[in-house]
Amino acid sequence: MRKLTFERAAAILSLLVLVLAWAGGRARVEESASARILNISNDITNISPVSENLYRAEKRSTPGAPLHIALESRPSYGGPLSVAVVADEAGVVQQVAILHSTDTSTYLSKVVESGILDPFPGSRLNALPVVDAISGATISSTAILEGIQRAGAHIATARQGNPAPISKTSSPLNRKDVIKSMAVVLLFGCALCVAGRRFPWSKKKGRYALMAVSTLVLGFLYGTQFSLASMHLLISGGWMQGLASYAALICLVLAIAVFFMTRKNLYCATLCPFGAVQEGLGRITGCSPPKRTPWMTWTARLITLMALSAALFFQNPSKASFEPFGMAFNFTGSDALFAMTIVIVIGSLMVKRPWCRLFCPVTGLFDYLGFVRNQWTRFQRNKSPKETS
Amino acid sequence: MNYQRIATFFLFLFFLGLSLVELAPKWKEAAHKESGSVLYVRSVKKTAPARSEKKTVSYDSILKANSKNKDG
Repeated sequence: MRKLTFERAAAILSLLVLVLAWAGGRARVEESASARILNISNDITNISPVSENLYRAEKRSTPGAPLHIALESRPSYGGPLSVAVVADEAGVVQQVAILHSTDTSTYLSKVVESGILDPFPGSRLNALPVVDAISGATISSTAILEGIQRAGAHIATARQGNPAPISKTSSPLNRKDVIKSMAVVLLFGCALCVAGRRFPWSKKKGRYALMAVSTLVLGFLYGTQFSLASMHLLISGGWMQGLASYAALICLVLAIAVFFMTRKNLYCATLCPFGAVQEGLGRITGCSPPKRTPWMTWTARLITLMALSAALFFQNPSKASFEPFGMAFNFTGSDALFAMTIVIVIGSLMVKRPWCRLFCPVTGLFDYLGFVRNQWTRFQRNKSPKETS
Repeated sequence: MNYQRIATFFLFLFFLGLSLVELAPKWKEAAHKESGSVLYVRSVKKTAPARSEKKTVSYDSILKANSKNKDG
């Protein structure tokens, strides 16, 4: 009883912490667009809005010389990416800037260091240079290039009533993402079929087959695996502002829906590529699952709560991710994640699924959802006899 | 069994330590970032102001240059 009270208090408290972090984050980023524009250059002064996302300003160095500034947001990997273009009266681009991005900072710095912004300053609005997207960070670089093209066109239209040509832009939902999402839905359908009572063959073999397919498709081919960052996007509503890829989010929503429908965590048991790799390694030595002590359970949950709260407070999903999924399948990530992947590979030979059982935030998430579901069922059961009496 | 308990304990400690090593710098960077700050900017390269072609010659220098000119 005492344990249950503690768990109930912890569940309510963690929800409260998340709400407070979200509210604090909203208050933190409610800054005026003009504050951001002023940070682009010291030479910009007297900013006044002309229309939505279009501003007029003056050059500090030559008073009276007007500047046109346009802001534009495009969907990127982790959410919207905002850019700004500053042009003078002659239609020459003076500055280009990336104002805000929720993409992983290592990806974004890779794109900028490759010189994607360099050809734009000094070019004319009606003849913006055509720059290729950077391979390995295509989504981020495409969002930047599209944003600059659109912002430039916005200024050109406002200056002369003369729209500049916009290069063909990709729609937010591209064909590859639709195929990825369909693959996710199909795999969930197969997982439900294998777990169902009417599955005619060996469930064990069916599960292994599905794990192998999922590792190849969701892991190595598409790199689509939901994480705490996807959870942040879902609960913060970041997905409503546009994403370049919805597959991970669809995966998360389906995993939660299936969990509530069937009372089974089919994603972790059957579809998680990282879990499948650990289980495959564990089969070599035939090791048994680790025994998680209560202090380990609560420490892992606390880290998950802290990471999710930080992402909500900083309004950036990349501040929540500490999972080595990207490193395991795409070899992208920090040194700490590389070390973690090595530890997990070695650990998988000693205990079964060490990451899943000991530290994975998805486990903490499903623990929480399971607790809420059980409490709700108990509440309904207690309520119904009173109603009948 | 004992061996697995020790392995579990050390694996957990590794996970905890490495996740904090991953997360702490991210949070520190985000906390220090000013509100309204810009991530990346590229500007036109400022060129040195063009020199005027007109040369200024002082009256004294003309007198000095003409001092040996006896033709007046």
